[in-house]
Amino acid sequence: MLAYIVRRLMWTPILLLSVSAIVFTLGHYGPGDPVQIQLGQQYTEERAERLRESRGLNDPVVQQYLRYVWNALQGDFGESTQFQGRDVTELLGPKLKVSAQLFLAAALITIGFGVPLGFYTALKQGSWQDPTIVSGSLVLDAMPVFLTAPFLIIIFALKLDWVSVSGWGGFFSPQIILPALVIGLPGIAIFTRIMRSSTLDVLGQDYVRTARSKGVPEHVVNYRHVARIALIPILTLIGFSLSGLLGGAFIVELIFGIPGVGRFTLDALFARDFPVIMAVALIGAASLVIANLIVDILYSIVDPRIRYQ
Amino acid sequence: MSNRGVSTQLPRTGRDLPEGVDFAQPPGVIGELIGTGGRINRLGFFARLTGATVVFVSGLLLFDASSSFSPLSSLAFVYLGFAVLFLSISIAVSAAIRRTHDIGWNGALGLLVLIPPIGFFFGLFLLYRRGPSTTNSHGRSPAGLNVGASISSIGISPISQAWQRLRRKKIAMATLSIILVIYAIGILAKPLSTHSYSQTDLLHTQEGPNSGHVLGTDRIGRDIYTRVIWGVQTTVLLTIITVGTGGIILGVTLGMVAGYFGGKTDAVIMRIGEVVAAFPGILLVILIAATLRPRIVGWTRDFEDWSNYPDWSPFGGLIESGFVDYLVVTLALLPFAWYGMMRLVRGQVLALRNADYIEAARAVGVSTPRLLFSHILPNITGTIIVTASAGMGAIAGSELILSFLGIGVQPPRPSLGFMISDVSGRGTAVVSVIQQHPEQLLAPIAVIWLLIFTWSLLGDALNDVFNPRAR
Repeated sequence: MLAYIVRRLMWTPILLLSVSAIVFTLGHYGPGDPVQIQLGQQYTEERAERLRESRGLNDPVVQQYLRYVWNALQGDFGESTQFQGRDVTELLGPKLKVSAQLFLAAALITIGFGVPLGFYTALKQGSWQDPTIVSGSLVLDAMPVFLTAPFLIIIFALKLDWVSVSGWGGFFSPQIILPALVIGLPGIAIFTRIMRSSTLDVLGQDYVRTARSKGVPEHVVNYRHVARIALIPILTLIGFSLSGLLGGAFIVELIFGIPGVGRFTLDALFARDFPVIMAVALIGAASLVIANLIVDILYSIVDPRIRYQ
Repeated sequence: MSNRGVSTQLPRTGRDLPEGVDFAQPPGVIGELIGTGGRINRLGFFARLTGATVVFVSGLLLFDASSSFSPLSSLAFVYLGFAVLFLSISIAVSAAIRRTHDIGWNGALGLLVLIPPIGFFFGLFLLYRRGPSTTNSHGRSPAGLNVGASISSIGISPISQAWQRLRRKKIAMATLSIILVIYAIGILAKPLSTHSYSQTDLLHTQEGPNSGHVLGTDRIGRDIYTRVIWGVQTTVLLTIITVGTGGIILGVTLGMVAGYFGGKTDAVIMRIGEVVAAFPGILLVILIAATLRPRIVGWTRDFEDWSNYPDWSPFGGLIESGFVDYLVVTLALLPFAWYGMMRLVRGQVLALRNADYIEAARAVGVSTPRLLFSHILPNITGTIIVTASAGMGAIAGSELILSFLGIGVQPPRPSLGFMISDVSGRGTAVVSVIQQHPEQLLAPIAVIWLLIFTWSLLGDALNDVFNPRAR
């Protein structure tokens, strides 16, 4: 077990190095000259040359990359080219906080609806509720963000006037509900499906039958014997769904005017602000890898039958 | 092995061989379609002619569409059209030859159908003349309908078993037909459209549905119905290309190699996959699409210049044809497409690698490529089909996001994602649009929603069909 964790921990920095190398190469050989963009109208040959020299852009690529990695290890992701001379860390910090809150709210909605629905449909297998809920969640799953967002805005913001159309007010303001719903709704289907199949698996196990035959009350069997074990695959899914959340966030932050990472990255992308993009890619990759590692470790704690080699 | 043994006992359409040494192989699908051996009866001839006609008509449609088929280089469609036409003619001629055999004549006479006036009457004669019910020099008398009979008589393959199970599911067949209709609409966009997708009409902008424009016009007077249909073509072709190249060719091959050889090969492939999977979802796709496009445009231009010497080129107009858009989006979505498929295939191959029949095949000296492709591959087809069908919806959704952000398919070429961002102005004015001109937003969204929804329903049904135990 310990050896497994150590091996995974050793693999993580290599993974992050590869990710950063890919992003660095794409940025380096990609279109647009960041120096030209930064200077804009004041562009002259000498100024550009001086700026290149001071930033070390004339050095060999490998040297530039190694310097970047060394600085990144110390928490310095360089300067944004889009906002003159401001540190990426300083710019990205507040955006990360906003997006993290949004993701948390979305994840709460996804898990809070998906897991109970999956559990319920599994217990009701064979009745009309089962296919209805499963196909209903599939309908939501296929619904593009472009459709749910305007509809939710029309219903809850314009017709019912419960929340304002767009803007950001923090985790505890009601404004977070609509964007979180839009990001979270499509994920419900996956959680419902996985929870349903894993509950069905557990329901067929011998120890559940033993518990029933002993006369353990039905609700105790369901919650103590079945639900706890059936939740294990959900853990893996939480790790993976982090990645899916980001895709929705790009568009939802645009539509709702939320100052989060997704919108910031898109702006950076169109301004060729590669230090920002690299930082986002690295932070995203690191959080994904670490989340999956934590999930794997939790796995063996929740279910002692699982042993890693 | 035992299948082959049984098949030799059944009445074959092949030439009769001495008793007890009948080595005739079942003709297989290709043999049934374009083989020239054996006999077929009148009904079989008629069925094959009908099939050839269907293939011929679709070839003509492809040929016609190629004249201004925007997305792929029009040249590709000319080639595809030729291939389809050739196939239809081969089917008809081979059927005529086998029918001539049935009458008892020399098969070469069947080639008469190729000569225009005589061929028509000879074809009618072949439809009319009954063959002898006894064995002639070309084999036994054909019995029954004789269309694909040899395939079903050998034993039922896993694929056709799955197909028969799928056919009993009403929802699955409904979703399958919806998907086929959407793909047909996409492929036949040109004959189906009523206007040009890029023609503007500033006197008739922002019109609701009327007699001239079925779904009205957009803010610069382009016909929305036409644009939706061409946008469907973009999505349809991109899903096929991406899942075909990334998922099926790349993912399956790498998965089989990783699973079968194991060791270092496996480790390298898996590690590369983990790096790709470590990227947060759509970010890598956006990054690749944004950085690669100018390079690819440059390369394509160089290639056009180079191939245009002296001044005629089969590759002319590559950039105008939209080739670059397709290449960029496909390349951007590739890392998404192959990893999942690779992991699943690898797992399956790992489980199969030490199966008895594989070991037996290895002991007899079957070569490794043959072992992989004709012994292992047929047994993991189910997994591949299920994974590919699940990937189609996801790829369609990702393409939508790319085009919405303006880094996928570029205007004037229509795509559903761009139509959505066009009416909603990158998301800000969605509400006013949906209140005044809902059809402008709903038409593209409804199509893409239907496509993703039906693909995920079909994926579920296929999963049930191929893994009947896992439910």
